[in-house]
Amino acid sequence: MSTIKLETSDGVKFTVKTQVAKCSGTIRTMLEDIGINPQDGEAIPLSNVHSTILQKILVWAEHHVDDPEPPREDADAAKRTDDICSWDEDFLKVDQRTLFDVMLAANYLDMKQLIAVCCKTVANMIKGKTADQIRRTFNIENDFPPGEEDKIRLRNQFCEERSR
Amino acid sequence: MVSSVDEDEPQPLELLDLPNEVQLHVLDHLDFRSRLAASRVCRLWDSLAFSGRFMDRVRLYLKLQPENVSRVTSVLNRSNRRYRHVVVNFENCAFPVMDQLVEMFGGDEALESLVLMGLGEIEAVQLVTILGSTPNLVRLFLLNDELDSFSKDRLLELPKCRVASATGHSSWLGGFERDMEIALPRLRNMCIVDRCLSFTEMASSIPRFFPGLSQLQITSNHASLSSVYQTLRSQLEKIVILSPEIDFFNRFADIGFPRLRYLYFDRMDLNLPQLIQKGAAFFSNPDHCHNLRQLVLHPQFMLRTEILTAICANCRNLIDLELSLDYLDGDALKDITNLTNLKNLTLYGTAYFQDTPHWPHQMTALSSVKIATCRFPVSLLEFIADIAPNLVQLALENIESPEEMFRLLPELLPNIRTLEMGYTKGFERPPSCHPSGYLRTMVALETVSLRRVIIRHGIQGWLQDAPRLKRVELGDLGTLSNTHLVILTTNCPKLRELKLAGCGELTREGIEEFRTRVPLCRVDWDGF
Repeated sequence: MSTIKLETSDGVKFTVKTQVAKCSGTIRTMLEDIGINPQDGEAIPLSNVHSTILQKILVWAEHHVDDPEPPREDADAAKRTDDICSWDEDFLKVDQRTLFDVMLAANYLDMKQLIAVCCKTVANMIKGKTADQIRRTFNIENDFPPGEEDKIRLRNQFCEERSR
Repeated sequence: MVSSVDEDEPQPLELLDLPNEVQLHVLDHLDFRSRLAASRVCRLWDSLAFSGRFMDRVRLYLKLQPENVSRVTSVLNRSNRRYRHVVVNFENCAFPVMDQLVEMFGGDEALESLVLMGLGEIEAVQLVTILGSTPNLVRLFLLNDELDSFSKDRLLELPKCRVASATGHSSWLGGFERDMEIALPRLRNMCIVDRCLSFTEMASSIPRFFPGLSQLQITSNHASLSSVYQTLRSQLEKIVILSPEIDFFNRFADIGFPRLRYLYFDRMDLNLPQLIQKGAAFFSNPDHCHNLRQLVLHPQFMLRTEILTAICANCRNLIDLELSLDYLDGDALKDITNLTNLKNLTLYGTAYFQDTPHWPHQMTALSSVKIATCRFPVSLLEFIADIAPNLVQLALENIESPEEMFRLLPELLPNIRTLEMGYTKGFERPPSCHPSGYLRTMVALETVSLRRVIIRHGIQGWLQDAPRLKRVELGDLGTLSNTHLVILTTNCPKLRELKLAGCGELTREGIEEFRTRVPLCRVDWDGF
């Protein structure tokens, strides 16, 4: 079984099954389009990803490597968030910082399914909360000038969901 | 110094540090209300939450009065939101100053769909000015009346649109005068609702102002407007006509529409001998008969068999057909079986059957039937059962004394998968009767929808014999209690989807209780 080497920002080298590494669109492009040859034994540098995060991501990729292509969702509707499989749910029971690090790395590595499941997880943390509760949950500063938030509230009152 | 900042330790990553496209991806997973809350979190999210494809899910709805115009515009101005869908209800008020309003739309190129309603006191020049600032409109609805909640269905149910004897016309219609300048080249879908469209200059200005129209929906057509259809005949794909003048139909019926796919006729007098002949000729015109996919025909009085025969002989590619049958001889329905491509059939009103007729064809494509406002539904149901071997969906609306029908359902239509039953608000005495007691032998049934029927507390047989049900939709059931939901959990263990709307007695606790008992079932409740 063919393997390739990946090198993280902190200089740690990982030997990974090629098929697992190809869960990343970025690595896939490097191998297939740009023609980096893994036989050379050279590690592919992932200068934006720390070893602790890559390790976690590889666990996820290993588990999902044989997943079929997901069905296309209606792009205009709100996407579902109640379809996270229980393995992923457990996998993402981490502190916020790790979750966001995984999202950042998954975005860099172009791993659509992993990003999607992370986004669903974060969305579930937002749903049903008030603006204030959301700020407290994610440590977000209210940077509106005085009175502006009230204006947005009024603006929102004029908005209704279109039925289609 | 006791504490020191470690220079090498980066600041912990926060949600807002993620690239904007990732944050947008998170927001894309939010339902409408959560999205509105998110827009109030911080400035970045205010701009992210109302952007991209979400703008197709949101409609700005403004109720304007002279007193609140300044307040509304000041709230809306200074916003970066680029709305694509806007409804303005002028509530039949006069607006002496229009500047602010125009400023609000001010050359907004994102705006695709604009609905202006309650136009009663709006001046022609004001209409022209507004439309002058919305260059890329694709859809424009102009409604003299005020609709409390806007939807296509509501629009088509408007009771007030009749050909009025009034001679004058609403002043905003003056916007269609010959020397006015309106240019909306991208407009495809236009709807005009007024009590009397006797403004003859519209005939020449509509094709000139809106040269790209393919969907035209107009009430109370004056005879002169037939020339609009003549001019646009080769591009119209959808035509909706309500309550036209008799002379209008006389001229309209001679026109052929080579691209017409959808036709809606409502409250049109098709009973004078001359009009019957015209109607039959219209539905025999090869220009449009073959292309027509959807037809809705509600004549003002009875449907004449000559017209039905012409439709069924010539419009062979119809997929959806909706008809009012009132006082029709049931035997005439045999022609419908010629429409072998038909998938959806809706029959309003009562047909009278002399004896058991013989139907010439089976309609194997027919999968969905709705029977509405019918006094003797059983004979219609027997007709449907005879001709539609592949029927999977049956909807019953405003059916009188349905008990006998329910009793026959399992025998006549044992294979249906979806059963809907409901009464609309105009129906005075919805019966305290629902089909649950008769569902035992309908082994294929997966979905039941009930709207505005009376469910008594602890009523015997409440969805009792339906252990295979996967989806239940309950709407406007004022007497539905938490207890009924508990009964549902034992009677329908396979339930995977429950939709609840307008069931005022339900409480949050009742919903939570239901969720605990059937955790795999998706619950959609409007009471949150």
